[in-house]
Amino acid sequence: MKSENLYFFQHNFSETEIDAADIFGGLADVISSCYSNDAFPAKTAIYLFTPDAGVYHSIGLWENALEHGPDFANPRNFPWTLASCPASFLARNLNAHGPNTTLIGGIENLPQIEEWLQLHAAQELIEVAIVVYLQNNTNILNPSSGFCRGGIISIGAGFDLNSNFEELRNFFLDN
Amino acid sequence: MVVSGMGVMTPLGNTVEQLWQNIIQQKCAAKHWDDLETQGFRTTIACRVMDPSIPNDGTRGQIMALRAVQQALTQANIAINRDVGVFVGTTMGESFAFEEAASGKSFDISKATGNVFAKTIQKHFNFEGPTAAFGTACAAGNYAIGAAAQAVRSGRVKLAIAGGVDPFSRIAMVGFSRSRAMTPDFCRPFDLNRKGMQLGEGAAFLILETYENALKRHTTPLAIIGELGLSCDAYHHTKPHENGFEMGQAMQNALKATGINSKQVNWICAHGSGTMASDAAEALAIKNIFGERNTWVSGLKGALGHSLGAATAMEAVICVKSLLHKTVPPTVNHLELPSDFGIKIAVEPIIMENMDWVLNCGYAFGGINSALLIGKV
Repeated sequence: MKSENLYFFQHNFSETEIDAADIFGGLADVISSCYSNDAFPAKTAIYLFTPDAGVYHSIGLWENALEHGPDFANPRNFPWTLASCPASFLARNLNAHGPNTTLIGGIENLPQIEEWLQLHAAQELIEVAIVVYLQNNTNILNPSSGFCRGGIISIGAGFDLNSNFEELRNFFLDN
Repeated sequence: MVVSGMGVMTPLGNTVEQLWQNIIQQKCAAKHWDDLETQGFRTTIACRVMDPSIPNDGTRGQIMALRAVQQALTQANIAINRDVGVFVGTTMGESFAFEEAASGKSFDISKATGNVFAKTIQKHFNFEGPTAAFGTACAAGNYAIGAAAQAVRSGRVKLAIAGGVDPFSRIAMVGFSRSRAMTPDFCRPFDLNRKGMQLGEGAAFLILETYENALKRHTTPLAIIGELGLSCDAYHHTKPHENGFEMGQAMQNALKATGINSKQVNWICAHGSGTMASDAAEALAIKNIFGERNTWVSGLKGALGHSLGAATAMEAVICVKSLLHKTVPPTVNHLELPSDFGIKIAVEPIIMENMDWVLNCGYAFGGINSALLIGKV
């Protein structure tokens, strides 16, 4: 969905996506496809908020260590134990070199994101801001049962952060 | 924007003064731990907080955070609780809770993820204001301090508690060790024979308020918080880009936003994790932005280990002490600089005639780069 300088996206993770790179690769494709320009500019910032990124893989890595011993655990998913991994994965896929931020929690983080978005725009650090809410289904500790939704704010002609962010806030609140 | 109070729980001291004295005396917190050997870790050397009253359970990080915040509040003589924001950076959260969950014990996500620290501080001190938990890994402390400073500047909060905390994490120990990122002996920032990082733990918090507010309360401001520069490599999920360009961009962004030039910075408190790739990229970034061997550089992780989300917060506290004492702290365990690094390492403490600004750098997995300017009052 597009509204002048604001684009919305929603992506439900598929049960067929069992690898974290597959899951977030799919999300990067969804974000790219809803953005009207060919590619994101280097001055693209990512502001991701999530109550549970990293939880599944943190528990999984220690389960593996308990099973095989700390010195033989498989470190492949270690980066995914960090809550910041999805946002930095998106940055790599979207070539986003602007501020890369992960906040733990839910919509209570929106005032913080809005404040930073305003600051980074004023400092001319960003031309595009991608705001992402990520939630895994922690009840069954399965990262592929979660979803992502968010918005892309293009900062240029016709850009009005207050009204754009109001629309974005309503999108998160309504959903 | 000024700092009016600080508190720490670190492997080199559980007060700010203890920490500073141990840093200046070039002490190293790294030691062998029997429990890590018993549990089958190949790397058994780490930097941990030695205080038997802090439990090794799912409250360890929260207790360290509360003690550090209490010290900071006492120093700043804070008596209010309204419009006080709490901004916390962390990497692993209450790691022990995840370890327990893996053992089949019950798991409450609200007591495990990084949010728990901010909420616990808010509840314990009865603060009425916003909270934010930054999960930006090893740069998280800088993020929290930068966000707190902006929240005070914008008027969203009157006063902010900002810092970072990470209790010792066996999950991180496994991850770094099995990724071959850990040194088998000592962390040697920017050394020719550096072999990797060393895991630490701890908590550090600062009180931020406007200069006018501090004076109105008859509190002595300790330092100025400048701007936070951010950037992202967007390159690799663990390795930094070897050209150090985006690390340099974070430094440049901090300088530009604060309105100063590189010559006004007297000391760079480097990330200096002691890994081959990160130190090489950081040295290149510093050389590109500050010129060859122009500005003193230290890496504090040789003394303290890498306390993940708490690291840049601890280092920010040491930056403030450095400005107050006009002393550049030493790089413990550093012996020989690679010939191509082109930076000026402080091996021993350097007494300066004047110190105006220091730059506190922290980078994280995924190429997340941060640089925070801290200045004298």
